[in-house]
Amino acid sequence: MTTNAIELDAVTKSFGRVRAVDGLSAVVPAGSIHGFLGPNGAGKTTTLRLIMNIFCPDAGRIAVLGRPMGEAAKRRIGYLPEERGLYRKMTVRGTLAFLGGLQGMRGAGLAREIARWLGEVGLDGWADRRVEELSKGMQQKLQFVAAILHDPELLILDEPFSGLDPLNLDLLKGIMLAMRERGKTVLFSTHMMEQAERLCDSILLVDHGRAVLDGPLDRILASHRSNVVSARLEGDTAFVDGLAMVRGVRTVERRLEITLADGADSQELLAALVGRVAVRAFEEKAPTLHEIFVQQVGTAHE
Amino acid sequence: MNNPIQKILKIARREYMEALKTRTFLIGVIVTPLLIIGLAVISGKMARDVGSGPQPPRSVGVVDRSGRLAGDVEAAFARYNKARPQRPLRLVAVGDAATAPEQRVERLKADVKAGRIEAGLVVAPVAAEEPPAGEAGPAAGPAPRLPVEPSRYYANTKSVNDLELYETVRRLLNEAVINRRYAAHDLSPELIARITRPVPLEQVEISQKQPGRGQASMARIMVPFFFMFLMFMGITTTSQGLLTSVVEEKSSRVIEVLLAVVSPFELMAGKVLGLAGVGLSLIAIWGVTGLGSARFLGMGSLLTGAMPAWFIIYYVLGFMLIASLFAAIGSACNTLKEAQNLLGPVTVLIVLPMVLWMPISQNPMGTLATVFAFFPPTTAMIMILRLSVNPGLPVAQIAGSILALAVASVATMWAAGKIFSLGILMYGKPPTPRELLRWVRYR
Repeated sequence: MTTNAIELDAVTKSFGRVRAVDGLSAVVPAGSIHGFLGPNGAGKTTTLRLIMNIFCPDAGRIAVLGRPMGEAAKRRIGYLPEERGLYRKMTVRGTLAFLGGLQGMRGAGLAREIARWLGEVGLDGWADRRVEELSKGMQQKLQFVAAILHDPELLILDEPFSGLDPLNLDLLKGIMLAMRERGKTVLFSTHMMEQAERLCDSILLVDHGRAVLDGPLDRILASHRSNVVSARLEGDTAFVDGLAMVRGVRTVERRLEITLADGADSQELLAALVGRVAVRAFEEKAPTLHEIFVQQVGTAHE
Repeated sequence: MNNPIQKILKIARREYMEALKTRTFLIGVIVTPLLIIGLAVISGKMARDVGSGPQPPRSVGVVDRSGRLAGDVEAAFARYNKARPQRPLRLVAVGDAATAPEQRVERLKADVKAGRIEAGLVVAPVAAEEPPAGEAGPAAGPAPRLPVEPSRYYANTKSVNDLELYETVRRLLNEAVINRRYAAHDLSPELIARITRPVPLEQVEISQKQPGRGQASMARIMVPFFFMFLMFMGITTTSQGLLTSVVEEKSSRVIEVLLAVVSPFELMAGKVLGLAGVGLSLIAIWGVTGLGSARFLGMGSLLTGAMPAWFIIYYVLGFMLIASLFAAIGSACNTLKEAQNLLGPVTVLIVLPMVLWMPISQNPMGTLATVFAFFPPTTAMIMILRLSVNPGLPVAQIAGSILALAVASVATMWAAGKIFSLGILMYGKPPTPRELLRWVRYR
């Protein structure tokens, strides 16, 4: 499993005069959970549709699971679209049997998997009810099951968490983590930075159809070390603002948030503080994915 | 293992099973055959005799203002009742000679209004007046027209639509007056009837294939129409079903869930196939009841052995062509209403053969018939019409039209598939026909 599950090479797709995806190159390593982030209208859904062969790219190459993307690969992929719906009049079991059947599953194996997954997501009592009788959250779980029923190697989820309550959110995350344990690849788009930060091994941040950030999450977080130090000091702190390495000081509750000048090191600040005040707490503030997102996308939009 | 054909078949099967559950299908399966049988029974009855059992007499009131015609009218009514004892007319004289005519007319009107009599007849004072002497000859100039008060027929709102009764009364009054005129010229009505009796002229048709096969001309026209209509219904009801199914899947956002598993073309092909199955099932049911009824009416011998085979071939190909147009249009729209606007030109193509029914069934080998037989959108209906009028159509024409239709159907399906794969995920303003054509050229 050293290959990449998805490779995008200078992929471009336009609709009329709008360039939805603009020379996007990225890789999704196999066996990882990969977050696909970006503001609204950044081209996330279009990219996922391109990967799914629902759209054809105007230019560029897409390889999925080691081969150029084609209809045959759809069997090895589970896809949960953002625009999703089910046949309202069909039963829960009928829906899964139909979609599983289209994926080539049949007979006892199909029935067993349907029963197992309905149990897993807590829909076992609903198998013979019509889809329209289900609540919205239940329908969403059913759609998720439809995407993973055939045990795909690659799971592509477009906004899987939207509209889920915390319990179902944890359920879905658990299943995604379990998929990774078994060597599968998960690519999902989301607006929930907090969820992405907890779940992802790597991320791809796009804006205006172009990649802004791409790579392992811890490396991205590390490379965005912030220049803010949060400290709890005892004594007269008025001198701090006057230090050469300090650009600004802000009091937040009982702490000081000290923004360092460019190129300054937090250790120099610490050395300058020790002896003049009592340092009770001293901490480099790590940026959250949220902050990185706002910073990156905000810059691009200026 | 899981090739495109299997996917198409699975989608077709679901489409078929779902269609069986819809109300439209149930109506098509139960109500339409009942209608066909009902019509057959009614027209069969009408053909044998109007009303097989005796029916209550209808009364017609009469006021004779001429004072001379009562006897003649009575005689005419009596002759009528003798000829048609099943549904006699009862003549009721309103008032007697002692009453003033105006008063009798008023009573007659009241009786009609109250429904005591079904209709009232007032014979005009001058109904049997001879033209003035010297003006009856052909050499004479135009007679000076006197303002003549006509005879009147009164009917209430319930009986005014009974045209048959009006026609009968009119005919009987005519008969009475004309007989009176014969008598004035010393002519015997019996002699006149004998002299003017019609000369029998038997109509014999010489058909090209089976000479001397005499069939009622009604059946010669109605049976081909029945086949064409069957084709028409088979194509339109199921195409409409396809359109609804596509628009519903699009608006309920099921489409993309399906596209995660199948290609747009497989989805469209599966739907077209499934609904073709629905159409064939409907046609089989309609065809069996229709032909059974035709047998019942004694028109059944017009069906040749190859007809069902031609029908299925033309239906499947013709349906593919029309249905893919419907599917393409449905995919580009978000509501049925939007789709209806774009459907106009397609509807014209479907209805065209119905308009051409008469000229083509009268001349199935003519230029008009041949041209539209090779115009793919109308091929299926026109060829079935021609084949049922004239089963001995040249093989070259049959084979040629099937080939042309097959090529056109596949091409249409391909083009519709292009539109379908683009349209299916487009939301918002529906495209114009020009835009749809541009989509075909997209890659």
